[in-house]
Amino acid sequence: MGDEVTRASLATSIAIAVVTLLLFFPLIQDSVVKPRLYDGSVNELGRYAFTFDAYEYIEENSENPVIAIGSSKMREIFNGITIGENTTFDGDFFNLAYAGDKPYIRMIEIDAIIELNPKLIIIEIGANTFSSIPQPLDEGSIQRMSQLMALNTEWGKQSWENILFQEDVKLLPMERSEQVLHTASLTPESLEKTLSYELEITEKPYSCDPIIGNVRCVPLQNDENYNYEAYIQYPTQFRNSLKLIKEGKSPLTIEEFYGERLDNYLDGSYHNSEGVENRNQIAFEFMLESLTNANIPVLLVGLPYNPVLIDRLDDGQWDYYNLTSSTYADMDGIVVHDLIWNDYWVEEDFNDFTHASREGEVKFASFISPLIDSILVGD
Amino acid sequence: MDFITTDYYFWFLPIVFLATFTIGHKKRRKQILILLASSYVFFWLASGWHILLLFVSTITDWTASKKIHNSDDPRYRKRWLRGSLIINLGLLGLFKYLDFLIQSLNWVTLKLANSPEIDTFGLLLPVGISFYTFQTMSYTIDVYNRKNKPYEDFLSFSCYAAFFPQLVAGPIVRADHFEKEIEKVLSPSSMRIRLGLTLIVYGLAKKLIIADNMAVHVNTIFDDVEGLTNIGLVWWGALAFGIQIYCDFSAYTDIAIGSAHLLGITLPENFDSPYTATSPQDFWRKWHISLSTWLRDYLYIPLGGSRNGPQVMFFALMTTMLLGGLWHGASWNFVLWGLIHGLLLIIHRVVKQNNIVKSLYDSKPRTITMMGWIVTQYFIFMTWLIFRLEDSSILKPALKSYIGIGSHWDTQEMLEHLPEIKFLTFGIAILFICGHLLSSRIGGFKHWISRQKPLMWGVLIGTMIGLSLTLRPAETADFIYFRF
Repeated sequence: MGDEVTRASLATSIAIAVVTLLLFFPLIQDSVVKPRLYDGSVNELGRYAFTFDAYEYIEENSENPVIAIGSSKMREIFNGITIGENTTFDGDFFNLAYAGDKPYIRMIEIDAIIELNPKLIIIEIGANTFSSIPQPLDEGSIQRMSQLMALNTEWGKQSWENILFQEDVKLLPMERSEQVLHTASLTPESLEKTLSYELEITEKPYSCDPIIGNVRCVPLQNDENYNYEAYIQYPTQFRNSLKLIKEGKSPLTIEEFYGERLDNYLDGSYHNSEGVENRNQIAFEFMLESLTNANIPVLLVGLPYNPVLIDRLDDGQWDYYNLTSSTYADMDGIVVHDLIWNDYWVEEDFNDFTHASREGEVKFASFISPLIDSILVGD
Repeated sequence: MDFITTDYYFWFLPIVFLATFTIGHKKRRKQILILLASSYVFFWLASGWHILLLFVSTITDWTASKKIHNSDDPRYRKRWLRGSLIINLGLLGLFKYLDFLIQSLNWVTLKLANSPEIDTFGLLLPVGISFYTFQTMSYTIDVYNRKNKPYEDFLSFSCYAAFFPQLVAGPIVRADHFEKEIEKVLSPSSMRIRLGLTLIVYGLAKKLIIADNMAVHVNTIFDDVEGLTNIGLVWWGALAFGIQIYCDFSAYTDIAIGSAHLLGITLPENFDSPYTATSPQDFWRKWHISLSTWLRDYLYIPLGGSRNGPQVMFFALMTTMLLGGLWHGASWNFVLWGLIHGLLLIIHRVVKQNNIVKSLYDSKPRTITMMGWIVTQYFIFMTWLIFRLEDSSILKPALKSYIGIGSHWDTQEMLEHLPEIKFLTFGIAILFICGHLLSSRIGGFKHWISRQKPLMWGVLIGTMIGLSLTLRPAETADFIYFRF
């Protein structure tokens, strides 16, 4: 054997090992980890794993994309198919919103969005945009941010690095090698879940049925049961809880729903602005600046709430939001359209306190479509 | 520093490699000096001031061996041998066994009379002391027995005593073997480098993928007595620990041998597919070979060996195994472990001499061999419980369950008791068992891999590194034999 291993063959052997290793991680990520991230088995919310793939898909398949991002409010109200039918602009409308969206987390996607270069980006703005972020960063945010950083297709740029607070940098995988190892660390759990599903020992935690699926499950691009493009235009929706309560088909009564439950909701830190220029606000303004610098038009939309909730707000509870959001209207390339405070919205437009029902979706499309046309086509 | 830290692979080993073959290019003494210096740096990083103990041991055996070699006076020679043994075993006894002795004494006196309890010293066990002590002692004994000549220069001997790849957890290398390895200028061939890299990656894969995943299950199962009446759980725990300890220890050995190959030095093998053993004697020929041969040469044979009748042989076997058990750790469970292995070896010798067994073997060799394998492995894995469980309140119910006393089978309960990642670990165990049985037939997977063509080698090595980084559990366990 000694004669067979020359220096050249040793070098070739090592080079092949390095190439194999470099190919190994994406292969494991795509074939083992991503399916379990998408269906929420590992991370509870599949949509935190799918956006970068969606941006790539859109870049390859749409000439005039319009992207909507924001929280579950946006995910439930922005029906890209309906909006497409209502606009004269010849484009495709994609809904890439996810529950619990925070600018400090979402900013990780900014380089991929700029790379995609959409015709328009529609961003949700609300009191939650300026909500507080725990210090030190909570486990959930670390997990979501680490996951997005690891899946980031534009990892060579990381323009948002300087926006991160130093104490957070220590908790996050900043280097590419750390990001790769972060995905790698999810492999055992992903493999375990895959084995238990394949052996039919356990069931998936969330239904991925295209019709009655759970919002936490996202279809893979190659899933034959789904029309992927339709999904990214109009994702799986919540059921109408309010209707079920009113019909007596829920363990909750309407009094309970609008009682302590609503009070707790209105007290929640995520639904209120912190009232100071915090990390979320800094990240949000960084995103706006990055997008306008890249000449991507931005439409900021204040999404509506169930009027019962609006009536229960304390005086001045969302003043910080009102004050701050109005300042963005003065920035070039940004249009602000606030639907929170107008009187068009009725209880039936919502599934619960905040998420739009089918009726709400249609109403929203009728409001937003002319606005999109005015930005993209002209009056 | 140890073999699972990135520092070792990203700076320590590359620097030593480059220094040895650039600064020390074609200059043997410089190469030895570099290896010695790097070994002391490695040991200092791993064990701090305990480096002084290594130095004392080195000086002692260097001086004693020279005095012994240069004298023809038997009494003078014996005096120096005794001196060397007293210092070596004294240091080992002080740091490894003193607190154990005090605790045992306290226990006995507390049981017999209300005498005051003696405080223990709480001395930290110096890393690798059991290994390098045995190594340097064997050198002096060999010189005393005129089996070997002493090293010609102090530098080479110091390097033998401290050589970093095998310093901490073996293999225990004989002085004459190492001397031959370093007598010429070190020059690693491409073949050696490829073999070295193969062994390192193979060892890392065994440690990170198999041993550490098994450790998660073992630690959960034996964390408390709950569930230990479930025979399935205890059997799985014993099997998982058996796999863990083999993959952990043999991984260390592979990395040690691989690192040494990169530096142009060949170290002896320490394992030969031990779970294919068909008798206790066979097991000790395949498990921790460098220790078992050391015990054979420096304890079993001097105690009488097998040529002085059965009674002497049984005494020598039992004493060797008891001390071998105690060598592993200062705890009664290791003594018990050695005792059971001693008994197994004695029973095997007795059974082997039985005429009925002999005739059965002659008529149905395959069946008897298979039965031998099953019985041997059953007891080997049982002894792993004793090895693993120092706490008798956990060991007793585990042993009772293992042999079926007061135990029950409940698959659902077993699965509920295991950690979240279970099917993956079962899969790894099944692959290990198949691989272990197959490996012995092809002369070892690692050697098979190192013989492959560049394309195949590269793909296998790249994949093994990738799997090591993706399948390792969140917590990496220390090498088990670091404690010894």
